[in-house]
Amino acid sequence: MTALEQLASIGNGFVQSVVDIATFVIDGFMAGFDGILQLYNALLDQQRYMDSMIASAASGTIDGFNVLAYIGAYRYLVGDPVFVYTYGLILIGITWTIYKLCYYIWQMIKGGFTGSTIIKSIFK
Amino acid sequence: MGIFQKMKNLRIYNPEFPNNRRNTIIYRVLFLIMAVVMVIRGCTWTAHAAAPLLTPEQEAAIQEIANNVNAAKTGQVIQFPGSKMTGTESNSWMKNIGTSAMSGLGALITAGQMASRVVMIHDAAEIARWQVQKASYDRYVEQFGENGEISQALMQQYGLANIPQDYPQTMYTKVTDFINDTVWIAGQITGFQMYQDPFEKFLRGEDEDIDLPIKVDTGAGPVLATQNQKADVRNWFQSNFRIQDGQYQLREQMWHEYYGKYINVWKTYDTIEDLIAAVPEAYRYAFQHLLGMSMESTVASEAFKKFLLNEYTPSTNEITYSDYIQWNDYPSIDETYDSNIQYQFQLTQRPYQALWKIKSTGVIYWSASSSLSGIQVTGSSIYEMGGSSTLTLTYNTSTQTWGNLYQGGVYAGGSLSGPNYEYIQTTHGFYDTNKAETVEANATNEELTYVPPKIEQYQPKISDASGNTTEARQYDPETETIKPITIDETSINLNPENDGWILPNPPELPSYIPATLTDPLTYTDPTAAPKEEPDPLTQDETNKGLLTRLGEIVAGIAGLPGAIVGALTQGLPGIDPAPLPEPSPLPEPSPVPPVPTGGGQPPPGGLPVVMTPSISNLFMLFWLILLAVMYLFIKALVFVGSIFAIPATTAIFNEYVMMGITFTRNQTIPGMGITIQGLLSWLGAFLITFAIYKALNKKVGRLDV
Repeated sequence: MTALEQLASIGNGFVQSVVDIATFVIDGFMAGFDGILQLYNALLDQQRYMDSMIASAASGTIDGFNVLAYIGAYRYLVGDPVFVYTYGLILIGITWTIYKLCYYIWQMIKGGFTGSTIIKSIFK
Repeated sequence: MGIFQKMKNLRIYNPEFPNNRRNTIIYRVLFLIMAVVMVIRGCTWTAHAAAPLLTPEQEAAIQEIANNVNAAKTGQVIQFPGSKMTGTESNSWMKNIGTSAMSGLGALITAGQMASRVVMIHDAAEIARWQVQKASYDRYVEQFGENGEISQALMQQYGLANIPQDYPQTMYTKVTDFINDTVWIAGQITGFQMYQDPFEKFLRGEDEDIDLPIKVDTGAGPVLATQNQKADVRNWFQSNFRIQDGQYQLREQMWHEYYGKYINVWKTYDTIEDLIAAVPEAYRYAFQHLLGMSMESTVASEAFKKFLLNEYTPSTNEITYSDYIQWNDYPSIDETYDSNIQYQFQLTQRPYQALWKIKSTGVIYWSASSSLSGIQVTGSSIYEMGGSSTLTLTYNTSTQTWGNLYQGGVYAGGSLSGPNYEYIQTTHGFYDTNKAETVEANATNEELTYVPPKIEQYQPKISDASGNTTEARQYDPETETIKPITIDETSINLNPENDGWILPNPPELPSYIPATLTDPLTYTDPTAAPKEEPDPLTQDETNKGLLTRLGEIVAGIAGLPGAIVGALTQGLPGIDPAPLPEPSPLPEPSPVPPVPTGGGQPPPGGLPVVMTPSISNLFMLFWLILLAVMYLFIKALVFVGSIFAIPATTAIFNEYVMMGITFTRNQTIPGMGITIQGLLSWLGAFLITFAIYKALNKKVGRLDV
């Protein structure tokens, strides 16, 4: 192997390395893209599942939904008064959480979108 | 100064309630609770105001009921349900029938038909009114259910203000009682007038043209037996009674262990009372009311013995009936609708008398006659207001025979009219069985043709603990199959003195066993009624309804954002990754433009959009994920709102767990009148309330600096 051939081979190896790195980056990007796509589709699946569950809960048929079955069993066991209390507490908690979120967002908007204000508004 | 500042100042100057942070929080909590209550009440009121109170069908039914009730009250319109006749035509029709009867045409009508018309004529107007009421009630139940109620305001709106609120239930009871009583009387008249010997007709199976009521103790009053039911009763008695060696025997079916099959056993009873007690109750009722006499007297009669011994020959002397009909409590015109006329009808023993007691606010013109020659009707024809009269019918027994009475019937009728009642026709028929000496000479003495009842196989059934019946089966070793058990139609004499049963000869009597003993009479054993387990979910329907409505409101409010977002986004598109390109040693010189190929409006949940990897698509993907998360969050809120609609269910428990839970929940605490379920439920509610109170108090106390 002549020196030129060695240089060429080195050059080829360099090019090949560059190509490999580029391929690695592209493959990584595509894999990440695919993963995010999977996440997105999973979210959509969850939405569909949630739709089915909402429809079942509204119609009173709980076939095929363990979550609804367990909630129904809880309602059966504790009775309506306790169930209403529990439900009310959950609603209050959710409403309170949403209120706090909106409050923080308002605080952030009011104080500007800097990292420090965000951190301070949440962890003051 | 604003109102809030004024309130604040008021609190500042109240020394017992200083304006500190703790009190501020208390104010806020109270205000929040008040606001929630007001919102819920507002939503409820809005829902009430928006929802229609009545459907068009219900409104039409109410209007129809109002028309019928008002018409019945005034007596102006009488229309038979299902008839196309108008009220005037109905009245005219009734008049014609009455006139025909009075003019002698009634003699051409069979007594049975006449008798049925007697009642119809007699109370045609009243029956029509009641039937209108019943039709109204049926219409009401159709729209509002049996336990529905008409509000007082609605009743006033439709002119029903004077009708009590429990009108449907009350009306139904009255109508049912009246019609049943009327039908009962019709049957009595028919039976007494039509047949010199109903027993004979009964045995002949020739009683098709009568509908004798059977008073089965179902709580519904007398019911009419169909011909099939009567045939069942007749066949049952012919197949299951006999007299052997001068003793009554009743057939029973018993399982013979040795033969491995059911056999018929003729069981001997020492006394008639024991035998009667062994007869199924349904047949006891049927027999008693079909023959118009008690079971005891029937069984003890010679006719019945002869019947059982197949020695029966018809004779009119053997069975006697009540000497006269006495209706002191004959249904009177309901005072609610016409209080002008009250009457009683009473037939006494010879001389035949029809006593009419008439009260009227005006003059009533009254006449009576009979179509049968030899019958004399005496009595005044015009009565003053408030007067009463006695109408006497006599006939010459030397010229009239029972046969004539049988053919033509004896009836007398009258018509009365007055200023307060347009028309009423009263006619009654009767005869006296004490005239048996004249009857016998004309009675039919032809032999009864005994028609053996059909032989039917009896398929025994097995009932399990839960009341389910299945066919009894046994293993057949010859065919190695399981076959249904069939009754062997043989009889056996049960002799208690012998160890075994005497094997029978071929059956002496054909067997007939109804499929079920209670079928023929629609008699239902109250002890066999299925026990309905109390549903814990329906113990407080009012609360449940309110809570359900609250849940619907909450679900609706919670679902509003989701509905808005859903309408805006119309669903997010699903995305499929584009097929990865083949690895190439060199990067693509010109990458494919990252354009989604699905179009602008992909169907929600439909075919996914193919998205190729690119930086711009990645940005779009992040944006879609953000939207999807927000969408999912909103859907989660909607789901939380719909949680309240989830019914209490026991789907995750198997039957054994359910048995334990049900047993525990239904345990009643002695002396308190409350179940374990109720106690635990309200105890839990109290504990949670207390916990919330403590937590709130603790929180407020901590803030009180």
